[in-house]
Amino acid sequence: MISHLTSHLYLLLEEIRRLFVLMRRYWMNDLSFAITIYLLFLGVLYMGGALAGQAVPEQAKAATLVGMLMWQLSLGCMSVLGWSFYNEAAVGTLEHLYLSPFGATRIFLARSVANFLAMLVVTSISGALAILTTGVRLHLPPLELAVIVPLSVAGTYGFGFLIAALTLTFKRTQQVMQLFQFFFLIFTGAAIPLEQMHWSLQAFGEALPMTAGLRAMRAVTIAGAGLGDVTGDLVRMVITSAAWLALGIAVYRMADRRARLRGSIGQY
Amino acid sequence: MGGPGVRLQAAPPAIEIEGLVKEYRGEDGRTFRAVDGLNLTVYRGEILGFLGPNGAGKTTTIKMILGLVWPDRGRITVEGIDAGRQRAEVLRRVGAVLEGNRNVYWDLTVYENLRYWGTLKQVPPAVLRTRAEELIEFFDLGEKRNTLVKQLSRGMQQKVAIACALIHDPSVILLDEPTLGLDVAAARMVKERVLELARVQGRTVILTTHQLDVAQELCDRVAIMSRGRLQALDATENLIALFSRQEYDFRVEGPVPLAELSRYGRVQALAEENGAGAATGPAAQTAAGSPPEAGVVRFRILLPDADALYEVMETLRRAGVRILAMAKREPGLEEIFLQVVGGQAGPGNHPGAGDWQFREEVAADD
Repeated sequence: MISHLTSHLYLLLEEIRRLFVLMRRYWMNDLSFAITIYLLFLGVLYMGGALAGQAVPEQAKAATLVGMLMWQLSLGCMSVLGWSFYNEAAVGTLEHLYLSPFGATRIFLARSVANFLAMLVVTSISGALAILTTGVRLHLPPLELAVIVPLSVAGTYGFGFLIAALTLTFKRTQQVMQLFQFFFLIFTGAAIPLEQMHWSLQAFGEALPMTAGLRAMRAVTIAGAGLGDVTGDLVRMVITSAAWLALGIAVYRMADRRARLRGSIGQY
Repeated sequence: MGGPGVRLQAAPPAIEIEGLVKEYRGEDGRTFRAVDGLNLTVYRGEILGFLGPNGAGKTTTIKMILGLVWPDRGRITVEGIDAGRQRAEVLRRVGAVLEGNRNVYWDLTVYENLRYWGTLKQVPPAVLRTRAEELIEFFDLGEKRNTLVKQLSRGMQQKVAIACALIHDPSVILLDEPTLGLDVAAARMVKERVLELARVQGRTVILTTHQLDVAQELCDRVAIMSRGRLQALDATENLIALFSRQEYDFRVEGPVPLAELSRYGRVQALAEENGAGAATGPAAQTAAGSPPEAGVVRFRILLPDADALYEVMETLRRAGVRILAMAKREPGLEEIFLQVVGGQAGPGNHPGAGDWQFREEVAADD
């Protein structure tokens, strides 16, 4: 027998190994995702410039790039518990995940962490392409990034669990996933400055995970701020991420209980 | 109870199900009972066949044992552990292959699947490597260990699925339609391995199947479910014996005295061996239209008891009929299944099965 903690560590390592094996095997898929986001960034950047009738300022370019990269990261993180949950349910491996003594929630949490690492790689490719071809310059202090990025993204997994809960209950939820993607694109300030919106939309945006994280990321990577300069946003990040993660897991567990009572875990 | 029965009675229970009830609500809002007061004990080391038509409640029962579906009422214990209260502990003792599912990741290789599912079953890494190699050897997958599962044949994929279900060395294995869709050779291989799991390794196996020949070949006991209830439960050989009838097929040459034979039992003509002239009516009609010298005649006779066979033989001898071949006809599990599920079973319909009774609950010796 191995200890409780060690077995969870093995679970995490195995999820990471599995994900990177699949990434290596199907690298074209992830590369395409990286290039898609890069092209989207170029589109937003130059379309905005063309509409304004003048060159986009360097700071705005950098702000757009950081926004797109953070959106990409959140997208990938959110979708792992959405798309993969749906796909696993459809082919039949989902029920086998439920047969693990770990329980499905812990497996999906481990998978989320593994997916976060994989998405960092994919997002880095998009970022590198953008920096190389547009001349955008960013500060990339490792300590600040190591704190802000995971904290900022953690809450998006709460949305992932919400999608998983909806998938368990309603089965076909691809459109819901798209809806959430646009929430993150529009209301976190990733593509449109949040301060230009009506106060009610701003309040909604501030409640989303990643909004405070994105603001802190811009401060660090563009203005060269340190952690001490973004403490307010750090606190907001912790609160919103913890709240969304807790809410997502709670709703997922309710859906899980309902599915077991209805005998519908494997029905898709 | 026969051979398996004696052995099973001596074995401790592996799974005990008491008063299990599961109701579902349909699209129209009406509820129906998928499982209706099921009581069942499965003994350690036995292979139990779970038979029943679609919607009988077999898969729901299997999923309730696994905790994928929660029962409305009743209790399930696996090796004495309450499946409702200590599910994780039960899952460490149970392996499962579910019907209609991929069961494993097709984008991973055989070995990668074993490692992944073994980790999910909390097998320590050092043990996992050894165990994976043992299973690869056991299922003859050595040459395919680094092949993606999606590139394997259906039979090999099924072997990988069973191997993954065994990776944590479970003492109880639940197999839902393990040979469905497999070709003859692959099905044979899977059946041999299932037998070995129980007979040599001492594991308890519950398998659901629509392929009754598979159940007859593998199972120590057979449980037949219909409309959520257990309709029959007994050792396979006992079930066959209970439904056995004094029915004989004859192939003879000469003037068959059909009228006289009809005094001993019900006589029915059979098709000619070459397929021509398949008879649909009683033998008397065939014989009346055929001269005695016409050649070979085949007929079936159902007798009230074994002693009547002596009278039949004597009658044929006196009539100068040459017996070319004779065989006692045994019912297959398929025939028994159809009779039980169709509600035709009962002592009156089955000479020799006088002690038969429907079982909605497990008998005292079960």
